[in-house]
Amino acid sequence: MTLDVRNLAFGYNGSAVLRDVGLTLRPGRMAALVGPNGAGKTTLLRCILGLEEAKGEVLLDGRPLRGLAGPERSRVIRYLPQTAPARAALTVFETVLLGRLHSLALRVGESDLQATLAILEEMGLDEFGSRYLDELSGGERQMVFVTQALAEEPRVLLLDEPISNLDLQNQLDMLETIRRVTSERRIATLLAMHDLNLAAKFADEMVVLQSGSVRAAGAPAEVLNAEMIREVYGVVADVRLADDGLPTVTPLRSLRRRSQAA
Amino acid sequence: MNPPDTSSALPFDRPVDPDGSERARSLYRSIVAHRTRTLLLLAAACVLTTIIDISVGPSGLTLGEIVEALFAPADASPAAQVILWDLRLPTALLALAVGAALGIAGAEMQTILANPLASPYTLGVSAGAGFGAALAIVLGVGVLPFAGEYLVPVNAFAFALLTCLAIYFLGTIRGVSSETMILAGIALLFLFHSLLAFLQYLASEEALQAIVFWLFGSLAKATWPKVGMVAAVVAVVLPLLLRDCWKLTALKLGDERARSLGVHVERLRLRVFLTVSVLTAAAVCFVGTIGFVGLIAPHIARMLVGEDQRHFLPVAALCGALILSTASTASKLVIPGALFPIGILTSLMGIPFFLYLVIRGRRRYW
Repeated sequence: MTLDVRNLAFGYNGSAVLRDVGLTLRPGRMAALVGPNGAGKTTLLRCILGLEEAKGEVLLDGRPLRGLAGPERSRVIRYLPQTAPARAALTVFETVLLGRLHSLALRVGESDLQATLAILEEMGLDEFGSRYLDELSGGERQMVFVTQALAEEPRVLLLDEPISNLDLQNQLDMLETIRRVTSERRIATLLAMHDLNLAAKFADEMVVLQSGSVRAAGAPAEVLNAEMIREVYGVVADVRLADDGLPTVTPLRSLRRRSQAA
Repeated sequence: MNPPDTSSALPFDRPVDPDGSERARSLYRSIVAHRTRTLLLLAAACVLTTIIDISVGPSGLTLGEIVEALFAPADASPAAQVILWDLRLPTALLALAVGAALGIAGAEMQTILANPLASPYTLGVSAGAGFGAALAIVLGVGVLPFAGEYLVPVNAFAFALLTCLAIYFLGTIRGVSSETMILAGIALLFLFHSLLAFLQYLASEEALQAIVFWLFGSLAKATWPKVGMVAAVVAVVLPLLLRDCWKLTALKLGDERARSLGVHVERLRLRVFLTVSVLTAAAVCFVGTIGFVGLIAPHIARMLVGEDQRHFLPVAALCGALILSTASTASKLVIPGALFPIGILTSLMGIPFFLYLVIRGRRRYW
């Protein structure tokens, strides 16, 4: 399914957080949402999902998302919030099972069990099934929540900084996995993140958010350049195209006065 | 675009195992089986403690007389009949019902407020009930005129419910966040403690004694109607809560995660809080302050079966029932011939055990 965001605007207490945001997510494609802290990345994801009442349109294959009932909407679109690792006395199996919340009854149906097992196996988590969440490492736990988000076969995935707390290897593995399920399951994925190099390496498209507006959008090689980084982030950076055609960003110095004095 | 080969990169990948599905499914069954076993074991333990509870008492009836009075009341001596049917059985069953109610109430308060310290006691509900009871004892007036022997419990019930409603409304002012509700509860706890102290200052010596005894917590005034009322509230509330069991389980993963799964977090929190309020008020109004059970029973349940509410809730109920039932027996043994206030005992017995669990527990759930 294609997700279209048009003229999205949102504000808290009169001050605008998002202004005239437009973007398109296509099935099987992974878009990276980048931008400085406070640019409105999380707010944008929450507005798309309908957790915040925003002006503008969110269209799913041309039909307004607002028209979908709550359970149906959360089945089609899944959102992985950026929150502290959950501490709950739940097993991995139960946590992923919760991804199918709307079909669960007191007695868990066979189809829910089978679907949960299938996705656990697909993500290589089946041996963790009976482990409790607190027995896992941060990377493993994050993988469990990504798996939970996939449990009901969503058509759109909105992921809020899923790799922020992970080490280098886990970051790569996580992005690799997200890219794999995005393309295999034809999901339209939007992934908020900070690392521009990883975004360029893994995403099909990049959307740069600056003070609540889309500053640039397109293929990483088109979007990433020294001028954009200086204006959006206030950082002088060296941007080069590597042999494989991917841009690589080497940050050189901050333009903030405080750091020049130091 | 072909997905790149990730088999070596993923930490979770392993050789394909054809019967992995079957193994994982049986794994799930074994998780649930362990919990069902725990549930049955606890239920059996409750039956056992209840049997011990009704066999023990100051009147020195023999076990034979108890059994006779229980199963063939017509053949038993009138004294044994009265002692068993009018005193010991209601007391023992009220302990079970109140313990279960407090266990459930504490479990859900901890769940919806996402705080390990939430319980009817720490949120001021018991204090509110205590103030209501004291008001009835000192002034002899209650919310319901001509309530007779129910004057004190009815007043305690009303004030417990009032406390919950106050927490609810203070909580709604700022978007039903758990922090606001907890702080409101703690503020009310201190408010009612000072109001209670004021009443005690005013009270006659006789009334003061009655207040203090109520605050100790006691099962001594158990009757069949009281047992019936508490049990009925539990019987109504438990299915209501189990209807939301998966949403409540999801809530433990955090508000935002629950929202992303499609749970209307604020609505769920308020609905469950109101349900639990009635339960708490019903539990504390007849027996006084036995708040500790509501704090500790959910923690034991969590350590035993985890937080899948389908098991967590009934096990928390059984843990509460078991604790109060044991305390009820012990309260008759501490001073032979006298009934020691059960509230004191619950805390004295429970706290070392609780601390042991907290220190030994390796899991981190919060």
